[in-house]
Amino acid sequence: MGWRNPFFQKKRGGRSTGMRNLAYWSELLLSVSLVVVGGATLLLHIFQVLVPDWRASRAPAGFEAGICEITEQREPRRDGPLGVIGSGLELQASRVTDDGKLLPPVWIKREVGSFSPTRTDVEDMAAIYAVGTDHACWFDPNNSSRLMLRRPLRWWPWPVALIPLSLFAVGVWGIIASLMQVVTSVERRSLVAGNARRLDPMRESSAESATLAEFSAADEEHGVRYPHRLPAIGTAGWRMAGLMLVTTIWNILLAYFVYVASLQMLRGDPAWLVLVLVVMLGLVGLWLAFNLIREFWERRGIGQTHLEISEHPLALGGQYAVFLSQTGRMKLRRLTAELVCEEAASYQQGTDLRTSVAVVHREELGKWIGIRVEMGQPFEMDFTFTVPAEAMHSFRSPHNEVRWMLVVEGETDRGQEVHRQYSMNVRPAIKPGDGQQVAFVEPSEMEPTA
Amino acid sequence: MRVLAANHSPLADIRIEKSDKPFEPGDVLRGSFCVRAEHAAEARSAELSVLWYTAGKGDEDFGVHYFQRYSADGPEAVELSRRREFRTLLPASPLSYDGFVVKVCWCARLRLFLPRGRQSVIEAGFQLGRVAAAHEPTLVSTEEA
Repeated sequence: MGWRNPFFQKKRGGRSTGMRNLAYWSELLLSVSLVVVGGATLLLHIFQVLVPDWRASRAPAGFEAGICEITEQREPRRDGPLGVIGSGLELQASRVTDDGKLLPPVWIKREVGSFSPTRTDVEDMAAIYAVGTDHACWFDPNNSSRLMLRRPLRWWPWPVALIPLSLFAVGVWGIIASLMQVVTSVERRSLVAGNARRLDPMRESSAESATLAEFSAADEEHGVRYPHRLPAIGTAGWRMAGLMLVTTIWNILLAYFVYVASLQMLRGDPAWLVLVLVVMLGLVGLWLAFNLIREFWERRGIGQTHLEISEHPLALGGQYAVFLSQTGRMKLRRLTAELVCEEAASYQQGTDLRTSVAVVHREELGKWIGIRVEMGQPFEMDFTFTVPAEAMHSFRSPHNEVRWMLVVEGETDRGQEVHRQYSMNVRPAIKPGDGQQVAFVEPSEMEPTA
Repeated sequence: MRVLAANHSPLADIRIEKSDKPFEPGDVLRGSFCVRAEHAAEARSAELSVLWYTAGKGDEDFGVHYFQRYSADGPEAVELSRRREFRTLLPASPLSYDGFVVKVCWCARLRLFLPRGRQSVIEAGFQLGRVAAAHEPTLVSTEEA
């Protein structure tokens, strides 16, 4: 576990700076604070909310069971945020004595219909506790004004307890991790973590180095010409789907605020805050819709690009055949296929997480110009390439990565850009003792130094 | 014993045999270390690791390939001033790499635990594999189809 406090441990170019001791103590202090705040809040929540609720839902202390008759209902109107009217239900009840007499009625403080966000809920509750109906209740024999209807156990305070509980757990884990920093070395902790990873039955090849990008033959898509279809990285389809989702949610929100604002206007009581919000949300909604339409416009007629390869994973120095298929309905001014290797390094700078990318190998594998693609008549092309024997294999660790990919780029006669990337897994050429990563040989003692 | 990768410090020294050439995956890495006699009594324990780590622009990642702990106290106490040999079969990856923003380095690291929570680290590096250093890519255009 590394130092997480970005204020005292910073990455500047290729070196780390900062005050290691201060970083350690500030992290320990933060963890202790979380334990204190989380623990105190959790105790308060347990003893002030959960336990009283639990008792109230059962037999309240000092109260006796009886029968009450509902004598009156009222619905207090409460102003909610943004001028929305809240609904509630309060009940007046009289206790029915053993000889059938009604005692003076009492407005019940902890009413059954506590604050409800919708009027329908209140109406449902009002129907259950209709005036003149009898219900089980609890009364204080020493004080006739203390009366309560038996309440169902509220569900929401229980999940709310997860908030202080998670703070407490994070704090405890932070303290353990901080103490581990002192008691054990980073190498020892890494070894323990590595051994645990190798024991993971979900990892397909647990004996393989964790730095090789995981490859699962079961997840591979089969091609038509060649056995493997390469997976696309970050397809434009996903981006468009994301944009569509955001635009839809945003504009539904906008519609809700327009509805609230319209109601206020009709009542002759315009809420200016809501109006300002509507204008701001509307501008953003328009901008999102404009981008979505533009995205659709730019993608029209461009079909899918498929790349199939003769073998996967690849090996350094290996030669491979590729089949390229471009569907759609368009005329391409040019289309190129490139073999690209890039490095990506992510680092914390202040409170930002940044990623630096450098292309270290770029090789054009094919270039085609003046291509016409029609529906049902995709552009298809075969080509071969060789992975450089002395290049770096695919490598992935939490903050650093070397990735290989095939990149297809083109431009239509309408000026639309085609840019698609397909990841490949390049393995080192030599695999000694497959499945055997570490061989421990007991060290032998030699002569002592002088 | 021909030694190139060696790191001498006032406290200890660590050596790797035949490290003038790159090691290949599957080779046996041999080396030795010792705590200098005048500081042996000071060192409570020592940890020897063979590991890779990343250098460069990104935050550091590392992975331990071989690990051995020696303690000067307890039932399995050893004399740290005696030169001790270590051997391990090198893995297939990650290979040593000198890139633009990602660098992968291998080393044998000796960590000494001293009184009052102090630690001292001595390293001897070596190269695994023969990956060429990264250079600025130049795009060579192919024949137009």
